[in-house]
Amino acid sequence: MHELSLAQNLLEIVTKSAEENNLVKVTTVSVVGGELGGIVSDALQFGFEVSCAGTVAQGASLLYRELPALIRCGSCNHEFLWKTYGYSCPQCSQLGGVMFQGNEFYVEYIEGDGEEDGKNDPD
Amino acid sequence: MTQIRVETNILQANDEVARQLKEKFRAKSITVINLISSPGAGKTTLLEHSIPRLIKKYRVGVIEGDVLTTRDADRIAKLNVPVVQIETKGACHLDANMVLKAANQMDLDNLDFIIIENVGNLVCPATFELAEDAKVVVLSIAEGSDKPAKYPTIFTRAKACILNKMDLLPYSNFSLDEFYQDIKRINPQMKVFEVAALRETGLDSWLEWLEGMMVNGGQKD
Repeated sequence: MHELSLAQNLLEIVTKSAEENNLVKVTTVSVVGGELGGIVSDALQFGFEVSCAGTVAQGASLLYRELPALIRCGSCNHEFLWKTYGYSCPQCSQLGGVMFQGNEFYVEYIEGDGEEDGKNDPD
Repeated sequence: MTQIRVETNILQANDEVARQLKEKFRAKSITVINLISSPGAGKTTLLEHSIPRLIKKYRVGVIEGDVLTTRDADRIAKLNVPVVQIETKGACHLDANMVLKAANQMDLDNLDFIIIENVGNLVCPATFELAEDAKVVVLSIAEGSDKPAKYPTIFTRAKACILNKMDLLPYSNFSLDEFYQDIKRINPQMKVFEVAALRETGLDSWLEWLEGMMVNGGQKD
């Protein structure tokens, strides 16, 4: 259970990006996590809410998208789900291959309002 | 409303420290192992029985991670190898920054191996790179053969697995068949060593594998 400290890392990235792009308010944060990344999305959500208080991202919604772990067969290059087939290729039965997706953990995008947006849209 | 592509790794702060530390270890030709398991699987006992044989040929240092106490470091210090204890004070895993601080207390010019004994936890340590050349997971017979399937992250990331306390096999319901079937599915490239560390059985092939892991083919400048 280290999602609170990960949420703080996440917030640092979000606030830095907001600052660089002159956002005064962040409304949405999209995070992508691999199936085997070891991230508990509910705990991250909670940690993010707590960490965001009093920052440019206060009240922002966190969208968490999980990517399945995928294996590419070393023999026939077929790509398949690790969870269903493990490392055993369903096309050519070769055992092995490379996991090329499933360990990610990154901020995909943020959405928010710049100063200009605020002026044009009084809401 | 503006959308900004970020595409930034959330673990970058840790991974960057780990990358720099790994360069340092490489420059000193030090091979680094990150030992991960549940509490009580036998990491410290494995080291107590592996290190005396390893130090006949190599210079070994140990970084001990625990939530509290220096008990494990005290056990390792009896083997007359340099050891640094990290007390995480509650944190569930070691991170690269803790290892950097510990490494700064070691004489890196006089080491061939650093073995990092992570905090006993089969989940969180898997996520954090520590500048290691290999993660090694220790699983003991008493924990049950279903653990690789239930905690797959560490088993997909480890290069080797020590199946420890093999002497308890007759007294448990651990199924070697189920274990090997799951490993074949989850991570067939992972090496498995059947060991009873306390009885000193099965250590030869594990120690040979460790030697084989040595960076730069085992040549120390």
